[in-house]
Amino acid sequence: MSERPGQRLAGLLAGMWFIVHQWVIALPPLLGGALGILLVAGLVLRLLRLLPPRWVGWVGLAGTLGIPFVDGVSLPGVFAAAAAWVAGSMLLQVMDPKRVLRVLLCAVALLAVIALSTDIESVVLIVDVAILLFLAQQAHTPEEATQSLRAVLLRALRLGVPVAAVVVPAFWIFPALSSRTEVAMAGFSGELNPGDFSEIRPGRQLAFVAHFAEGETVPGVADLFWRGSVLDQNLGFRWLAGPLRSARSDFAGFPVWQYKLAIEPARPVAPVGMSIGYEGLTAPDDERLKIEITSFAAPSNDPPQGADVELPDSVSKAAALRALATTIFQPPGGTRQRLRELAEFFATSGFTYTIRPGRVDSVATFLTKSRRGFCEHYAAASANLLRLGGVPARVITGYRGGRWNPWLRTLSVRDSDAHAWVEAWDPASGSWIRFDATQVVAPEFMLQLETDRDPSRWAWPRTALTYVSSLFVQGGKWLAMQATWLGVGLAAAALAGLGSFLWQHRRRRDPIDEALRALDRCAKRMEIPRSIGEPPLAWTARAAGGHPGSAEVLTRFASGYEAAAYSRSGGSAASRQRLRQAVASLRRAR
Amino acid sequence: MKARERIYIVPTWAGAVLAGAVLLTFAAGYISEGFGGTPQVLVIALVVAGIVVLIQTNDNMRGICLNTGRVPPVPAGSEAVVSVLVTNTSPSERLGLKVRYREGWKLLGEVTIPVIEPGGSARVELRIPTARRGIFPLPAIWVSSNFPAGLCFAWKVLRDAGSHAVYPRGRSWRPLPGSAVAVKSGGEEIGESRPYIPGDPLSRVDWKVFARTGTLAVRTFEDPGGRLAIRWEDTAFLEDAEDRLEQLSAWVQAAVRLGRGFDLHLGGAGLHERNLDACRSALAGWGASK
Repeated sequence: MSERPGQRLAGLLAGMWFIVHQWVIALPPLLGGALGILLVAGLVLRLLRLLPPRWVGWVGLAGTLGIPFVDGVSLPGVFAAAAAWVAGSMLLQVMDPKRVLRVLLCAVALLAVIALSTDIESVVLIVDVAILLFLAQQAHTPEEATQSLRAVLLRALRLGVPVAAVVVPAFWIFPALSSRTEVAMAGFSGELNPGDFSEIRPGRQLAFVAHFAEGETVPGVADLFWRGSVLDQNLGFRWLAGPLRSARSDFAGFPVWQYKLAIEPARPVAPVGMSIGYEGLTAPDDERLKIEITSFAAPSNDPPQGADVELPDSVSKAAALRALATTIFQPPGGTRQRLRELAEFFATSGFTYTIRPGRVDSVATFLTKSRRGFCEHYAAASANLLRLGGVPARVITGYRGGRWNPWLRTLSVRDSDAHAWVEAWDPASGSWIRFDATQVVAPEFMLQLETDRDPSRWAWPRTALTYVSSLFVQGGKWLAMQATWLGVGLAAAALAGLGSFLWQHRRRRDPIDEALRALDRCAKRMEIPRSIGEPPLAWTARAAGGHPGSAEVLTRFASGYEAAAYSRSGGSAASRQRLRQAVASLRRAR
Repeated sequence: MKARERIYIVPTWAGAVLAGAVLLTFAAGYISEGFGGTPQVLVIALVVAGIVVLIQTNDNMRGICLNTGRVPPVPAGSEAVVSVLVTNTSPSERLGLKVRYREGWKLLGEVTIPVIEPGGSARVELRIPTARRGIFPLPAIWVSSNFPAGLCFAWKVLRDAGSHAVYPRGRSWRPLPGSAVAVKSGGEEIGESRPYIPGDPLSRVDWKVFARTGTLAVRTFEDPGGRLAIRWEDTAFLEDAEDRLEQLSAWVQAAVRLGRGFDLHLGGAGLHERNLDACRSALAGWGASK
């Protein structure tokens, strides 16, 4: 098999891994770097047409088995890293059609991880599939049939055109392909704008992991609101963050939780803290951020500001909304009374929770017509209604819940847990009261959270998987503690081994080949072409006759060549030196 | 009406793994994002690609015809050579074909044909090991391909392609009856010569005559009894039928070596030496029809 498909494949994989590592899945720098080195080494070795010893592949496989031990790697991360390891290991071996297919399947796995983890453009996926198909075809095309570029292109078209003929119409059938701007991935956002999206998708990417200290009480399900941004700038359906609020300082008498928060470096999203209005922390792009937090169940008591009661014209002048507010809120009543009335309104007026509500462009349309939406719709509508009812209100964005691991005492919070809710000012208690209309409309979420918290209600596969993954993580932590320097030593030894291998197998220039190449170049210059099969010495004799001026140089070359090429032991060092000198003079000959 | 071609096609292990990966991606995408998400785009693209590869692999087998030539009888223990002509009757090239032959599930051999141009053909020789005498059916001959992407394996099979004869390997207990003089004297002293006729075996060229006269001549034998008769009854000194057949086979070979005409009598009508293959086939198939 030609080396070309292998080289192209290696380049493609290295590129795909770069995309995955850079934008899709955050991996610890050591692992990501090691994988990058492996794939790039595969590419370089393919280009040099070198093969490392088999043990290098086995080391790669061992590396694959070790990936689950690396703390902080999500399931898609493990999957992608394993695929990259396997592909990288195979790239170090001889490529035949079967092995090319295996590497291509690894590439498909990487592609699946990209598709599952990001909002990548569909056309990129389709182009990738087309490239993989082309490479598979190239690998299986016999060398005897690859002599004509036209034939190669026609064959590629024969495969690509039918795929395009079916897939391109599918672009129009699936809305995700034709109306990308209306679909958003669920995740933490520093602002609210549900009117811009017809649909959200619950992304599975890990946002952060909270580790609770041994012996500390883990907050109950009802308190699992991870507070992020406070949005008080009301533009109807759109809410923006105002100036930073001051947090309270008197926490005496409230429950206290100690936990460590690990913010993943996938993207700078998560200024979150539990039950305190703490903002402004973002993870740097290239490393994990670990912070220790002391959180109090104290309600916020920063007094309302002017912004907390403002209404945009689209709400304050909407007759339907004013009438609705009048219907919902029966005077007189305090904040708690207003919240009860609002909850009753949402519970009894036919509202539905859905992640595909379609485009809803205003609060009025949502409250009076569509009545279908996700948490952002309900938060924006609740805050507007409360403000219409005279209650200062603001929207909070953050996360709700998290996946509980009782063995590690961690709560893993994902993008799909992103949430928005409302806080209303209660003058009687001098604090903000949390109100979550989504919980009223979809009480099943609360039941789900309770089930998630109680391992005795889990299905056995989940219990088993969680336990096993806990063992892996704990084992990985232990190994990491024991083996930091060992790892550094192993990495250095591997690099040294690779370097030594490359040095040993560097392309050695054969002086005879060099001489023949110089001879052919000289023949071209002298315009006395060497016919096929003509021995070099015969040519030099012929050329010396045609170019008497160069006869001496040619004769010297011939004797040097003869001594180096036809001597019994392959030529002594002196004869090789003579040949080199002769080649140098031949290069100057005209 | 054109006869329908019988092409079989199954996914290769890689195709099966890809199908599994597509299903997993579909399930994971559905669980995380429902229908219409980005993973489903990947699923659609891969499924369509898989179907196109399936069709193309099938197409790569269309118009391929297999024909076998006559297989000369061979002695037991040597290889029977089957010449297979693979013809491409379609208007487009066929790539990456493999001709395989197998007995049951045991693969006996494989020959690769990289490319056959439209209307072209390729001849391959399949070598079948033989162990014992008899008339054997030719093994099933497959022509297969996993071009263009290795995800599907398509094949056509030629069954009942004919038979091949394996005659007994010669084993001699006694010399060829009626040839003692000829063998003893080397044949040339009692024989006469006649001018060479194209087609005469070179082993019968009388080189002494050629040296003397410069013209080619072949030796003739004067057999008092006319042609040699190699009879089943002459092997009565052996008890085992297979031994007798091996003795007959050895005599036939000796007669051919000596250039003697002979008739082989196995209980029926005599088989003339010019039908040497028929003689050998008769030895191979002896007892099969009884």
